[in-house]
Amino acid sequence: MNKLYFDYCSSSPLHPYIIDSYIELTKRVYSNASSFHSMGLEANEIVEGSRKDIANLLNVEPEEVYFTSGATESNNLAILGVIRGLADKKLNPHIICTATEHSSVYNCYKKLNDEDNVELTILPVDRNGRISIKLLEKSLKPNTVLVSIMHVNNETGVIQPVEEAGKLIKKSGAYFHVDGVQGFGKIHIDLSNIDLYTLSGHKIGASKGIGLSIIKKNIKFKPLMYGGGQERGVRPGTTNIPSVLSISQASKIALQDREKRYEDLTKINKWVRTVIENIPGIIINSPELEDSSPHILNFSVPGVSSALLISFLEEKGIIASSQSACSSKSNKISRVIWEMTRDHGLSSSSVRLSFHENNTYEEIEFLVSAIRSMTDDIKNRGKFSFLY
Amino acid sequence: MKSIKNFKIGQLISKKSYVTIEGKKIKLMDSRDKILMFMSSHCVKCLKLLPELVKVNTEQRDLYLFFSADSEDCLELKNKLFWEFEVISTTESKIEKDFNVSILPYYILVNDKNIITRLGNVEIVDDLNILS
Repeated sequence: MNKLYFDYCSSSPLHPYIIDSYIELTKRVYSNASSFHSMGLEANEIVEGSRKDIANLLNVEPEEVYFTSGATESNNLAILGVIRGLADKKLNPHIICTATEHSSVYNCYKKLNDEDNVELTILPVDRNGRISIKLLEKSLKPNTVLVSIMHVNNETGVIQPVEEAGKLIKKSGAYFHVDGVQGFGKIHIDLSNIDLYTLSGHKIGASKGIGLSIIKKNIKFKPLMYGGGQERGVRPGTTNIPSVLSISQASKIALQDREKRYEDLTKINKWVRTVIENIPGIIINSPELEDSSPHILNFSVPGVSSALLISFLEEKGIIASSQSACSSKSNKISRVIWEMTRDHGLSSSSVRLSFHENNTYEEIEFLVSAIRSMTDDIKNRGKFSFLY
Repeated sequence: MKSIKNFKIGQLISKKSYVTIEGKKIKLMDSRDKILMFMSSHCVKCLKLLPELVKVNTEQRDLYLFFSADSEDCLELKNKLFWEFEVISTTESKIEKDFNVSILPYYILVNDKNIITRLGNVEIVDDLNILS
């Protein structure tokens, strides 16, 4: 049976406009972009051209764009790089992150607190998954050096007020880091008051193994790795040229078509929402669309584990997920849903659907039928019935 | 009793005993070859493997499934999937506490001298063949 994919937040296919140039470049430009011969210079031109294109798209300077292996590295680089840069200059630093950050941010903050004794404030979220700006204001201290707030939550689609937070944080003198992975190309963002910004390639139709770190020029910063001088010493290692071009092309497409994409995704989200909110036993965890991005819809079926629901849906031909793909191996509870609800039933039974703007009427019809059929089977035949 | 952490090949299995979902008391330390399987209803990989457990050869050795779910769920699965091996209803935290196993599905092979001969994660259905 052909299965329909609704896990675009975990990873997306290469954009059709990118595939050809990606393959062509992989075959043709295999030289090292740091080499001084003509083939190396050609490779370097592609990298620097891509850097300039991305800088123009994000309204930053080319020297503020760094290529990494992906969002996990970019987040680690931003957070740990800032702390390393400050460590010998400022004693007793204080850092702030939200309770629902992606694990590549959250675990960096926990590690800094647990192992390096860095003072940490974790900002709680409300029932809609949003932070309070007032609480953020209260949490900022004279020794606060870094604040991380994700733009769009990867499990629920919740949009955080990052522009409002940015103005506040700028006044305080702390650096502001935003994980923009799920918001980019869906929700507008202005980087004026953001010091460090993270993007992932494969979430927006570029290849895997490429990410971006935007690190503003004024940031006191130290690299995490040492080697050659690539990426101006901030991120040494041979540059992945086809992927660099792919993230530049994908970023352009993501921003060019953003409004149309938002409209298409909103139609899909509203349709699925309208159907499933009327199915007994289903509770929608994502807030209303004014507070969340339409490409994500999270729901729970209390009493049935996320793993069972995902397996059930797969048996019905639907590929979905629960938590971030990075943490879905055996975790029982979604930290994100728990922080929003403090409800064990909801947080152990969440499912994340993530849509693509090209999903068709037939695909969405198939999806909602599968969800209906799943809840009927659970009610009438039992929650393990997909196994026999 | 000192709790055993970091189970290793060549080490003696724990002296603990458990009660199956049908009320039978089993001792891990007896004189039979056995496979201890650890799975959970919160683990997608485990759920995929559950129907395959009947393929594990239990003629030469006993199979004990430690399954993180309540007794009612375990009993339903045992009946519907025609399991003839013993099932122990447990929790993931108890599995971690007793066996230091945190990533599931997981197996521990024990010989008739109660010595651990093999252990590790089971990734795909074919991995079960090494147990047969």
